[in-house]
Amino acid sequence: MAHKSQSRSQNQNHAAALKAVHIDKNILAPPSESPKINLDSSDHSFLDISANCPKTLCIGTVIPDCGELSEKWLSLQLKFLKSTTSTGFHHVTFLQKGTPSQFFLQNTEVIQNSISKNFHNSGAHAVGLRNILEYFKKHSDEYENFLFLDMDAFPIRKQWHECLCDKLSKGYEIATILRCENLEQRLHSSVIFLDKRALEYLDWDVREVGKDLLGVTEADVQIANYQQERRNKAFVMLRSNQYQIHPLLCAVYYDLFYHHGNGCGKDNKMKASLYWSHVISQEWDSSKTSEHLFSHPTSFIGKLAGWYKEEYAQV
Amino acid sequence: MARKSRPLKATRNMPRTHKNILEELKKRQTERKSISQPEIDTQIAVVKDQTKKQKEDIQPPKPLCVGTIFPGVSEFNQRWLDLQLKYLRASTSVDFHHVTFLQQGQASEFFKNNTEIIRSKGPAARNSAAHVKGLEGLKNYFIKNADLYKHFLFIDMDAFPIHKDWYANLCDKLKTKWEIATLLRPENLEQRLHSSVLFCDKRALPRLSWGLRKVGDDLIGKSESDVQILEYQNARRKQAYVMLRSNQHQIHPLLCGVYYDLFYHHGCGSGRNFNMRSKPYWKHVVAQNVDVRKTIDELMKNPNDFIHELAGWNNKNYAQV
Repeated sequence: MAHKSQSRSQNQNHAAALKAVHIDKNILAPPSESPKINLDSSDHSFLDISANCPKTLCIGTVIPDCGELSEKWLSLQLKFLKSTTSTGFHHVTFLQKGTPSQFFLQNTEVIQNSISKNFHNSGAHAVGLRNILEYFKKHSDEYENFLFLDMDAFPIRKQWHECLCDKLSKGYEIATILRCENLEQRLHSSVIFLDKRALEYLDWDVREVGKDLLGVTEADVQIANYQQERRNKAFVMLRSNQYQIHPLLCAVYYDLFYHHGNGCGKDNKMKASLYWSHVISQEWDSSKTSEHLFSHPTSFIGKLAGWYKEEYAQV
Repeated sequence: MARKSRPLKATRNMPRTHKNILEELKKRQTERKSISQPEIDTQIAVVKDQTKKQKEDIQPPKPLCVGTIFPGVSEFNQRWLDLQLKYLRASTSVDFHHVTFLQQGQASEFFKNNTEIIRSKGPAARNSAAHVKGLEGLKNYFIKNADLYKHFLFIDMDAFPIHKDWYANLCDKLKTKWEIATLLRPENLEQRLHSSVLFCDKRALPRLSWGLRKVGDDLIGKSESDVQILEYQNARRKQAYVMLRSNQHQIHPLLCGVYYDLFYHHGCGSGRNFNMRSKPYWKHVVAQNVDVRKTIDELMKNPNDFIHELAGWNNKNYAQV
């Protein structure tokens, strides 16, 4: 009973959980060398500049259907992409099932494949990623960089594109997420940024990756060549939340990207749920946090990311 | 001339033995011969038992032995020891013994009164080599006293448990396949298990040893070399339970870390310059020139509030000091 009561209390107080913190933040001075773009966040004219720029970036997202939840995620992703991306970009969606709605048709290029209906969960995700890869390869002469994004992930910081281009100029071929907090050793495809060099190496399969951080077998979608052979060509972005409302969900990576986790609304238990059972209730309701995110995205992200509020997108 | 006037031989008086004294000596000799050998052994055994009993009265067997390495006994180090002991007392549900491996200097009264001091022979080492020497010194102490304790905790001077259930939680882990519980710091791009906190039982002690060598590549493909727990880094990696960073609130991505909601580890607690390996990785997030002393002062000023803010998840479960 006490456990349930604690869980209920946590769920009812998500907003309150984003409490004020009292430690003197001035004890650590901000980095003087922090890169900044000279853009006033209240001035949305940069959206037009971005729109008129030659499109150097192509972004692909896998979305399960055109339901209301998926539409909310796509809308939020596009808002953050427009607010944070200093270069022109094209957005493409791999739709796993259903007929594209007006909102989808007007805001993204929809691609579909009848084969994907035969796959579920991780297998369906791998098929979606492969289809987007094929699209990227087909249009590789039109863009300089490519970004794979999960439906519930998006960039939050204005200089994300410059920052990752800088990494690719230093020998890395891809930049992606590593979720150590979920005990994972595998590179996670919720965010993959790359240039043309990597297109030929990329592939996905669902198989045993090896052992996780606790020595237990880890099997899921993996980026085939970059998990082992080309591992040192992969720059990983680690969790960087200044504030956390859950040790696994609602994550900020490398202060550049947000990834909600369980964004599709299914009550999937993540791999490390039990590991963190003494920290957070197993009955934690993630749908409440997505509602909070949709209604107050700027303050929600600003609080979680936390390090430099003026650098985060205002949407 | 002078020779003639003196006698060639000195004349001595005959020794005079008192008759009563002779009789007394003879009597004592007879008594000694009459006492049988087994009775003597029994007497010695009784004395030994009494000594053991007296020792037990002073130091009853304790479930846990905690070992820390200190570079010296400065006032700064004394503050760390004081804080660590306060948190150990407030958060540990069982009785424990505390031992300090002192790298150099004479033990101060505070150290003498609050911890058992051990040292190593030979010249003092420096930096990581000194850390290896300290860890080996503590391990040897633990092995020597293995029968007195159930569990052993290696802990850096700037680390301490914060959660009241830490001991029960980790004992549960060791009941299964895991032989040690230790820190892993991916936030510092590390693949190596980190000995700033290392909890184990007797099984693991003979297998523990440390070396300063290449671990492999770190998380961004750069060579990683530092102190590693040799056997558990590879061969017995599956027997090592790792505790990951769990801060609910962060003031720095590398310093002031809470691990698995059970332990606090400050990082650079000796007051050395901030030079951790992933410093450039986080340069767009925090300043490169962090004043570690300021963060230590902040912690020392009000440890309860500081830890509660950082750990954050379950304030009622954190120790109050």
